Amino acid sequence: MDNQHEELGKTAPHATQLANTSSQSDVDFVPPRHWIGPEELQGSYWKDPQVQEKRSQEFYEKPVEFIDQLDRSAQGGVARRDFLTIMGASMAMASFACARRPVHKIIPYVVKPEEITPGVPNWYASTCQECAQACGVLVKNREGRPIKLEGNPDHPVNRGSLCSRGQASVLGLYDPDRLKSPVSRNRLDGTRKDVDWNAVDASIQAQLKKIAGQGGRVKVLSGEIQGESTRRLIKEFLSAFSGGEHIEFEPLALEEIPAAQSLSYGNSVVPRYRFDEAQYVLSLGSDFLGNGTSPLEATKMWSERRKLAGQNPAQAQLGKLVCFESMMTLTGANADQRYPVRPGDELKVAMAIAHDLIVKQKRSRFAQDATVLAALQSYSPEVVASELGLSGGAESIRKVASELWENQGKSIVVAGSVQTKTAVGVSLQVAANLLNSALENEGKTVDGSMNYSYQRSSFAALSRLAEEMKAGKVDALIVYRSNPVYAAPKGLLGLTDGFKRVPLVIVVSEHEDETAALADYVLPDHHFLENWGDAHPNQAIYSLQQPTLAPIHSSRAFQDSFLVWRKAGLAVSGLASKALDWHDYLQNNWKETVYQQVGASGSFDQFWNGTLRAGVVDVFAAKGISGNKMSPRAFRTASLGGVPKYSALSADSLYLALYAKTSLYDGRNANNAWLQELPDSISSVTWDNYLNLSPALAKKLDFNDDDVVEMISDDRTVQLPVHIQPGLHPQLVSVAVGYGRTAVGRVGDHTGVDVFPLVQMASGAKGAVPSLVFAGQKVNLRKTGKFYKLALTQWHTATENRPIINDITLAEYRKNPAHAAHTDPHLRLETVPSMWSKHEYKGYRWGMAIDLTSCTGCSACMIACQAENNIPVVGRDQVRVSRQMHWIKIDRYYSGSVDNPNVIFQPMLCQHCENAPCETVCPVLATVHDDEGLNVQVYNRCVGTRYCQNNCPYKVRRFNFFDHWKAYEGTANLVWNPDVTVRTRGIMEKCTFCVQRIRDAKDQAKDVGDRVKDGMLKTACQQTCPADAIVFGNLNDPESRVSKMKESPQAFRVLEVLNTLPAVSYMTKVRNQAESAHSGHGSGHAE
Amino acid sequence: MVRISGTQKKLGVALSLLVGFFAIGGVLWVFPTASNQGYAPEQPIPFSHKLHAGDNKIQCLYCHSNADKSRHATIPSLNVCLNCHTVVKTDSPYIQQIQKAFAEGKPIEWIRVHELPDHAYFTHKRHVAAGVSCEVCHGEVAKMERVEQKAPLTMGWCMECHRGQTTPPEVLAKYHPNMKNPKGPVAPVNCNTCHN
Repeated sequence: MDNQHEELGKTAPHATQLANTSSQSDVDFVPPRHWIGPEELQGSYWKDPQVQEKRSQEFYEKPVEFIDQLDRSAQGGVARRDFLTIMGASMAMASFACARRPVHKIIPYVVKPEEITPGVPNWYASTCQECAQACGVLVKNREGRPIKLEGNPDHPVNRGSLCSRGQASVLGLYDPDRLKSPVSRNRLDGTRKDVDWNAVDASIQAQLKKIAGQGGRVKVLSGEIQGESTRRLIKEFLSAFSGGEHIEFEPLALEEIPAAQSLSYGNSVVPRYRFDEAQYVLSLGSDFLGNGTSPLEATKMWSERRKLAGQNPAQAQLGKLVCFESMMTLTGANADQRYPVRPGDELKVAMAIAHDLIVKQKRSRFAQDATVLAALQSYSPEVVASELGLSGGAESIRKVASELWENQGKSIVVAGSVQTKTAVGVSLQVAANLLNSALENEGKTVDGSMNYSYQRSSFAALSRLAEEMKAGKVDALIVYRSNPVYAAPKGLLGLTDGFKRVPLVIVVSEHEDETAALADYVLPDHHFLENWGDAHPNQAIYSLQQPTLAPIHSSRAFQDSFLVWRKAGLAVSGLASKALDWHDYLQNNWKETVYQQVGASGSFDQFWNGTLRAGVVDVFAAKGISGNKMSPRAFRTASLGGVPKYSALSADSLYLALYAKTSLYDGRNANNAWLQELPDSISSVTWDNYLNLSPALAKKLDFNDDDVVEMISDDRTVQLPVHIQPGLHPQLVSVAVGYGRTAVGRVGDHTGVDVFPLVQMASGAKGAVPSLVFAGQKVNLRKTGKFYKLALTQWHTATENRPIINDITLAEYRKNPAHAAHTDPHLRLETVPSMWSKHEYKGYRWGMAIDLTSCTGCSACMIACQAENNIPVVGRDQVRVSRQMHWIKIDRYYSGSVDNPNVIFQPMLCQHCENAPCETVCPVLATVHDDEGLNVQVYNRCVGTRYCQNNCPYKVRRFNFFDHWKAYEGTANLVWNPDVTVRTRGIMEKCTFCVQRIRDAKDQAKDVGDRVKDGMLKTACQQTCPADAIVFGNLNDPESRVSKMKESPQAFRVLEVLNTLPAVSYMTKVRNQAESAHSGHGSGHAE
Repeated sequence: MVRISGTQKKLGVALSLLVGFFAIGGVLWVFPTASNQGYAPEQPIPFSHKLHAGDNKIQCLYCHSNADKSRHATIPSLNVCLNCHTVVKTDSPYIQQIQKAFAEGKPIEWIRVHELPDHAYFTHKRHVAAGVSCEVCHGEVAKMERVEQKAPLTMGWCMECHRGQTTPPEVLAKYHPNMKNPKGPVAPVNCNTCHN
């Protein structure tokens, strides 16, 4: 305790002197010690002279030598000093050149479209197609081009939020590496040439006609199709061929969920989990908050149970989340209790919990069921806990079982993610189904009637297709939005050979990707923002997608291609035989299906226009069906027959878990620089994938961070840099898929290492359905002696061991809510006298409150901010020297033991201090306070001294070392927000609280002679937040949400003792734990 | 190749800095502000505001129809010209030039007269709503044969009005009826009022 105090004294002597006035007697609560990396816990890390020196320099990584190197390579040998010499001479000329203004032109429309007013955005409702979740979006258009996507608040799936991938899709639209015109390839010599659509169509039509005449087999291989219209069109088109088949395949689809649902309940669905109804959630390796079946919907619902605002602290209620998982996922990081296990152990945990509940306690409807008892017999909690080495032993399993039982009907057992796709993946799901049925959750929190209808992916169908291709039984293959050559286990399926034996291969894609290299024709597809479409995310919801700009390139909708090709005289059926184009087809299909289903009273045109404006139609709501009329399905105990008997894993082997990042997912967005530079929520690494190891394993094998290690799995070998990750099981190594692409574009090519080749096929029983195995493979590691510096951001802006965050347990909060606001017991604001007179705010005073209890760390806000505020991408090398430009960042801290730490996320942005340290040091008044409480940065005044950056205790200011905007080439320049200045080299920037949005809101309020009302104005980060953790508003209005949150006992301000008086308040993270979060692990306080 | 010694290099740097200093000084002497005041470029079509807005008394907002809706007042699109000129003065070669451009779908490329730097976000809409007449900033356009930038359009000039020194009396009367000889700002003067 005293030591920590002393340490603080070194970094903030001023603070300590002031704090000494606070009396020791009221210090009865010791906040947990938070740390960034495991090295901090070794001995007296912060007293180490080397560390102190490193921390005292301006940049964590010394940039000089490194940048000199870069400069020489980038600028053809001109180094810094020579550069200055040349600059001197050119100054004179430059100043003359400035004397004359450039002549600019104004080019008006020839005929101005009625709905466009230059300078005023138009909003169009559409549907995001970045994944199969089908979130509703509102597309902000300026002068006919989309510049930002926002979640559609009226869309039942995402309710206004949007994830990082959705936010980044607008950059994908303007990707300069998109395929710009059709390509014809000669597969014999590999040559390619750009061709026009007429030539392509004529050739394809002739070939398809011939195939149809010969009764040939045409296959369409696609990613998961969101909408029924496209699916129907494909079916109708294929009816012209006697051997037509449509195969959908997503490499990361959780196919085991519908498979197990089918075994357990008889219907092959993906149930809708009602996290909003669940007080207790047990996740068995499911990353439902990050990469689940519907992560935004899940986060929205789950976070509703994570709000303490407005609750009486003494009786505060909080949902509980318990996690057993291998890789540290976003969900695990948010768990109140997390247990690291090996891949495949999740099944044992599930069965042990069921054993305790059903066999030992004789509870639930299955207590007398012989089949269930027999299946559970071998999984006693004692045996499982001792094999897994669970902290707390079998008691931890028994505790979870009893807590689940207490929350019967209001708990959820959710299982499965990419990293649980082991050989026993289906069994895990069956075990979870058993638990949900035993706990009466089925039909209450697990809704099998409202299934996600999009889950049609089938690896079995793909492997059958591969066999047919190799046997020469496929005459034409059309690949649409699927990249099997990159993402399917090519070695196992022999896809490359298969492609060679198909006479006609057509790939429809936005990029000339890995699969396109094996095609005869590569046809550019529209980006989803250029195309019509629909989506059917669950049984109640139909969502429309509309074009928001004219196609940028010579691309064509995949669906339109079918309608063109049928004109060769193909005998297609149904609507496809008469539709004029894809838009016509879509409308007619809706007329026949959704319009009928809704039973709308008006004409179809009225219905269509209304739906187009709203973006979505809720069939149940339209019919007046309210609430959920779920009914529990009967669990078929026979499904437990496939669950293997208990057997221990080897205690010496290392097990691999492949996982997907929320940003890159399966690698389809690998050419999106925003997503590549987004620091991983947990590891904070950008631009690369890496091998995650626990600190214990790294110590045992003598690996350090950034060591390049060779990983051997069967006959496959990959080399990856090491990242030491606390909270992993010591027998686990994990790597993210989606990297190492070779044909996606300049950003994504050869970024990271492709680990899809490590995916295996399940060697199940004879005749069993083949499935993919992403986890559980045994691997060996070997040091190569090479070294690769990962672009890791976690230390860049570390706060020198100052206590800047707090978390307490629910029990503590109930007992004494005042403790929530104590980041450090010695440092109290009330004891600090102020040197400054207060600012006066007559009108608005803007402020923000961030709820750390519900923030999941998903990082969607970072990309939303990037899109809104023209934040550039700097590239891997610049991130390595701490020059990333994000205005908001998600800081991740650990507390507790290094083997299984608690995780806490803190979104950190400009605090808009009332007494801002940056303002007092700027020699040119480039950063000043405005009369609404904003700390404003004036770009045209800034001369780049960087004093403000040095004096900012929150480390949130970003300096433009280069003209980063120049990296945006060609069409990428269209992504800039015209309401925000694009910053040049040599100036400082930081969060503005989205001042352009504030101005817009005031403008709109003034139009109607009103003031900005609470909730009318949202910052970009707040708008996109799926957990509603960010609240922005007027602090001068005592009734505003932000004022109320600021006054709550949960609220604290970071480094309050510095008397900076931030406008941002944080709501302390409260964990639903009974005992002290940091007891037992004495590591808390610096020794 | 001529070898340059360290001293020569230093001298060179000093000399270039000196030259640069005087050059900047000279430029500022000749052009005391960054203003483009008096700028009146020749336009691709010699459109006369005097004829349209002066003699024929066409309202400003008829053509610059977004001045009360948007940041930008906007130059009218060709179809607005042709509202009248399908029948009016169709024998003029300039009108024929417009008709030809319309038929071909090629917009006229006007030369921009009033221009603020990219980091200044001036909004027409709020100024029109406040009752600031167009002439306050654009001068008596109704008397101009060729449009000229009358006001300096510098930041200092904007600030004089926002601080109440040069505020049009009718605007002052509307928002600050009791204020005589205004001492303080009458409109926002924060940096981020205009700079994002």
